[in-house]
Amino acid sequence: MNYELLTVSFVGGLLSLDSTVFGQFMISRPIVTGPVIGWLCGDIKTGLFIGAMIELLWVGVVPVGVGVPPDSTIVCIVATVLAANNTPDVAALAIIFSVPLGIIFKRLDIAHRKWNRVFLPVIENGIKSGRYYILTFVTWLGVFLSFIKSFLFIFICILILSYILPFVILSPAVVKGLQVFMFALPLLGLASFLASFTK
Amino acid sequence: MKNCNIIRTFFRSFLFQAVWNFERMQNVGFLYSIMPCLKEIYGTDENRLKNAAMRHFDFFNTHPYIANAIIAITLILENEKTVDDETKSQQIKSLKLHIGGPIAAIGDTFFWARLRPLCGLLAAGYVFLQCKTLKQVQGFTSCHFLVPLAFIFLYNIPHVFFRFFGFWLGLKCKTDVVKIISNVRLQKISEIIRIIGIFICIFVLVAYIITSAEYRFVGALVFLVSFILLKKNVSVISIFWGLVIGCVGIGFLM
Repeated sequence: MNYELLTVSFVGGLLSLDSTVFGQFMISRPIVTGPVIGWLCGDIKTGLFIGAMIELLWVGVVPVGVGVPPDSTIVCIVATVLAANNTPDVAALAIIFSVPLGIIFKRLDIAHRKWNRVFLPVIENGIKSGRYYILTFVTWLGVFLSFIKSFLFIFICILILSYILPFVILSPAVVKGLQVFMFALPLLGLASFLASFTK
Repeated sequence: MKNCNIIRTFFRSFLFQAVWNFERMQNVGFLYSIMPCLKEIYGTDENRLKNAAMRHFDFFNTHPYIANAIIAITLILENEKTVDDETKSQQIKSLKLHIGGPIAAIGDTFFWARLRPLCGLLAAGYVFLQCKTLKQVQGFTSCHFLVPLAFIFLYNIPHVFFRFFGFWLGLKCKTDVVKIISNVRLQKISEIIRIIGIFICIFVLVAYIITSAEYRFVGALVFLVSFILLKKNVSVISIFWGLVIGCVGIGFLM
């Protein structure tokens, strides 16, 4: 279990780099991360389903200018790991519990971007004294720090949530409610798509 | 400039936002990308290289996909040998300041607000039309691997095209590239994508609701209520929490 958790966090950290730091090939979108993480957990189909669900939920969220939106990659990774090889109601719970993580991670991301300015005087001094390798070093350090940030965040979140989730007591009524929820969630996504496209 | 340095600049531009900061935004990425070429242009003169590096360390922000065009124009301007450093610095400063903003706006509306949602909808809609619950997914055998691959492929054709041709055009046509980019009529393509997106969304919606046996009424209600709330600028996350509470409530009623 712990070995698998490390692999998932590692791959999750790499995938999450794509969203701002490296390239933006959109391999950090839930529709891609879901199946990849699901494949690592041995349950690619659940991953695909959860990924499609979170992709639709995030479809209307558009970053404008310098705004930082809630992170969908983290939500999808944590939800997929918790839901893989589990019953459908646990999958619904996994989505519900991991959505707040996207908002927490967004706060963390903003703090990180504010903190990044400590590098500016370092690079400036480097240029003035002719040591240009500092620029390359800082750039790759930035990539590395972003990776460590996502890696640790995913690792800790999965560790905590996989302890919490079994303690959530599901009465038959709640299970029925969660079924309706799983059916209704894509509709919320479609509504947000239509709302952003008819603007 | 040597070809190998230009290729290095292109690949370095993928790390454009590595040290994104709120003070000067993409300045580190910009300088990092053009550094090999700057070294080649000012290689012999330590002082001029320092000055050039410092002036590219200023505030800069644009859309990462279209940044390549600006990088290329900047390099061409830096490479001009007849102009003295003072005018060059002014030219580049005004170019970066005046082109970055409008081009970023074009990129934001086209890529973030139109193309990505459409690709996401196509991929996710395909999954939901095939299967509605996790139980049905387990019986879903047809090419589940192709869904994410198709998404990446569909999205990255325009993306890589823009990165590559923006760079190439910038090197070839210099400042005319802005005219060319505005001539591509991205607004019109965005409008076409918008209309296609609305049709696909309605198709997926109707098919999804009609084929569900039990929850037709609930589904239509959820969609209408959340659409109206979204139009009144309620955030998706708030509606999400409302949906969780509402659905658990429905569970107790049934």
